[in-house]
Amino acid sequence: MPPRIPPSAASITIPRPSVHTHCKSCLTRAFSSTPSSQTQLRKRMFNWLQGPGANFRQPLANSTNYLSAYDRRGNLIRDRNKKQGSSPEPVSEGPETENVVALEEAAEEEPRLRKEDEEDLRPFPLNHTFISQSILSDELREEIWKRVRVDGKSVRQVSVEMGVDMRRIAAVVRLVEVERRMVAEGKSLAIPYARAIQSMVPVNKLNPQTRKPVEEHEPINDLEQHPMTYRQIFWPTSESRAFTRTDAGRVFSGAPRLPDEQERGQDGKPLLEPWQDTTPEIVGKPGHEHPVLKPADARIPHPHLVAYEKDKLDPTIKSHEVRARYVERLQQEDAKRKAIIERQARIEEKKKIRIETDRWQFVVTEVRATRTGTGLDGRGTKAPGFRYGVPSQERKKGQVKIPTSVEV
Amino acid sequence: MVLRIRLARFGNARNPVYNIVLAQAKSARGKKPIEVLGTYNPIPQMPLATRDTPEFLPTGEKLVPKKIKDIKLDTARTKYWLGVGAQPTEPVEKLFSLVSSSSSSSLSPGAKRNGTCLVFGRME
Repeated sequence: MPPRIPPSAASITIPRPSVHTHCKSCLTRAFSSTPSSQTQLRKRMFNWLQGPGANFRQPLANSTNYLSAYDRRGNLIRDRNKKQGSSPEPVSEGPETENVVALEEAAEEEPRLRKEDEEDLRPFPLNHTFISQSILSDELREEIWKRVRVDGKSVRQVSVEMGVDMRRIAAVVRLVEVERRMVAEGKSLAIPYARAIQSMVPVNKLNPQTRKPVEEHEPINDLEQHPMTYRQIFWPTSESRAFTRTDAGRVFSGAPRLPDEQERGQDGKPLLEPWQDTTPEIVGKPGHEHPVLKPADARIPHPHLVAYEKDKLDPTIKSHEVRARYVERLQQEDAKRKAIIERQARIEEKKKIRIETDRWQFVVTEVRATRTGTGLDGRGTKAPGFRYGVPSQERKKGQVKIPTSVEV
Repeated sequence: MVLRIRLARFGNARNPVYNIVLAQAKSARGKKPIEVLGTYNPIPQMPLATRDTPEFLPTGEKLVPKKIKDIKLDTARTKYWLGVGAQPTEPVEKLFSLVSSSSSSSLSPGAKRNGTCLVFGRME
């Protein structure tokens, strides 16, 4: 490597370039002849990052920070509306300067933002139908778990009390159980992650006074459209007889009309409330049996709420009595469900003999090995034993083995 | 022609499960039997938890349930075949003696009605 030549004295004496040493055009001219590395889109991106996008560098506390909550210039829309709404007021109250000062102080003391409305909860500006739904806060989840596991209330009852769907209640109880088990086993929880997520999405908090969610979480008595009712059917009926929702359900499920003596609401017979009809009825030829579709009132998750609302409207029943009747109905239903579960367990247990040995327990189950179980072709699955000549589908492609839905 | 009540192996490698079958004594193990009487799973299985199964014992220890060996058996058909002279193999005889040694009141409603209780075992 040749030795470096030290800078000559002449080069040192040249004054440093400054605004005064250059002409004006020199300052604005682009010296590079290669095309600009910044595309138009890139330039726009940086403009956005330095302009309206700068809001998201320091997100708002205790609020969501979705794109649609801000306008093009990066102003918070709900904040701007508030300012516009409040600005004309001080003008009208000219003489009362003290009041204005007090108001301003109050405004400074609590710079709390208005709660987000639907417009602010759209994370994707081009997808207007997507609205971000709130999640349950940690305290709320603990409260739900406590009511189910500690107080021993039914999932149904807690669902009504908290205004949360039964499936969600069940999921919360399961997940809190898992969380507590992990804590008991000394496993670490991803708490910073959970906190980060909770700061980004809308969260439904627990009201410490009422021990209920601050706002209604979700509708609990909604029903999806039953696939049986997708068909469009033209069904001629007699004008002399009432065609009720019960009859419509029977038509959809291909069941014959109820005979006249069983028909309710005809010929002055007392009308049975649809929600009281919970006994399942099976129709169809052998091998094609299916239950008769009940009216929506009987299928909704909380049919007893219908009776509760009817009691409320009845002027002859006092308010405390309404509540008592409601609680009684719930308890009756709970007792009924428990009895059914116990009976089923007892019937199952009756078929079994348990033989204790030192190392394990033999469980002998009484079964019936008949041709009705195997079917005439011998491939049926109802009889015990592994079938002959029927390959196992266990390893076949496309077999879904994980549960795809949760039944409550 | 001897009829045998015996085990027919199903399942995968190192993971046997058996059908308890009635078959001709000289027929192959995997041949289609005259009748399938039940199943026997020789590998102890962890029982499924029910809604009342506690996670911890009152002493604070974690509940470790006893593993179970599952036998499914049509006792009525078994009794019939034993009655007409079918002979169980040794492993099946052991299973039958296990079943009959415990209270078979719920297992043999027909025998109870008749006032007789047919004991499982080799017909001498």
